[in-house]
Amino acid sequence: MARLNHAYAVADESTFEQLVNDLYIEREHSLRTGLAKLSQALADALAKFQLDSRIAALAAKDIPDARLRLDHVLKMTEDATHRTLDLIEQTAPIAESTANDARILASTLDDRSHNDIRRFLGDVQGSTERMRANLTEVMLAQGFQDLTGQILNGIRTLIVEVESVLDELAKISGVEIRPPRIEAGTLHGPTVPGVSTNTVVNQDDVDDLIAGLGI
Amino acid sequence: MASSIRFLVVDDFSTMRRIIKNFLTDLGYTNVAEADDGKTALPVLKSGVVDFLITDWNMPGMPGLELLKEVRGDPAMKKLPVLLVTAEAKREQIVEAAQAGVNGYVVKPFTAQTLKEKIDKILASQAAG
Repeated sequence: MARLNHAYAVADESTFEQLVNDLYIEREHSLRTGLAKLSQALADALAKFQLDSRIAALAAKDIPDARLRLDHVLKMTEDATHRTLDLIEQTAPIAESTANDARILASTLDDRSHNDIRRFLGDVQGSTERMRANLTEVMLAQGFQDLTGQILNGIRTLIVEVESVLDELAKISGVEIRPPRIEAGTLHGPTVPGVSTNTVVNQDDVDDLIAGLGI
Repeated sequence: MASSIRFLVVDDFSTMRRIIKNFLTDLGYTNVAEADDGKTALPVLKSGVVDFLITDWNMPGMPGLELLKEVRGDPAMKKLPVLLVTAEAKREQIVEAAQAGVNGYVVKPFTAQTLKEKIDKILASQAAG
């Protein structure tokens, strides 16, 4: 600093410039050292929290798989609900017309005769009307698909957010993706399109496979 | 008279739209249109062919409450009966919907009895008013 002051005082321009330049280089060096220390600390932290291949695998495979699984659950419940509603729509008019036919037939019978038949027709009318009412309740119970679907959609949004965070972390840690080790005896549950691999498609596939094994 | 009422059922879940539509048919209301969110419902409503709006709240695009506010903000639809059928069950949300001018509020899951009662009540007050 004293040398810098002196060079300034005596107007020694070249020495002054040289000294300022030295100062700049020294400062840049310490900055670089600081950055290197910081990035090393970050790498250590990442390693410490095991942001290794497991995180990368989570980001690249497990989380997108979870998203696909949820989508599949939503689709399955939606399909099953529509199928149930199809059957309710087909069955309700049968119950309705049976109740109606029983009522009409009963009204044509002589009051003093056919007591058994009239009682039977009354029962038919009552039970088919109860069937009709129960079908309405079954229909409304299908509203579960909307409610569970909304909850699944919420979880799906969360998963998409976690996926993007993990993806960033995996990029920062720069590690290779290693698929998780699957323990022998692990069960995989229902087939999920786009996720499950090496699965049979239907019972025919199972039968073919079994037959192929000589059973 | 009852069967001539034109309903619009708005819900992003096709299963719920179908349930409400079937239920309305059981009650004798056979003129039922559907929309999957507020955005698709609004042009139908503006065309003036709807007498009664049944809408969900939580929908992508335009949620039910926003649709309700649009309806109430339009002089032609200011008095359109609107029934919210939703899973949203927080008191402050119900208050918010009431302040926005909803005519009835049904929380999912609902029973046939509840839905019928709310529809009947709204129609009765419309007829009286």
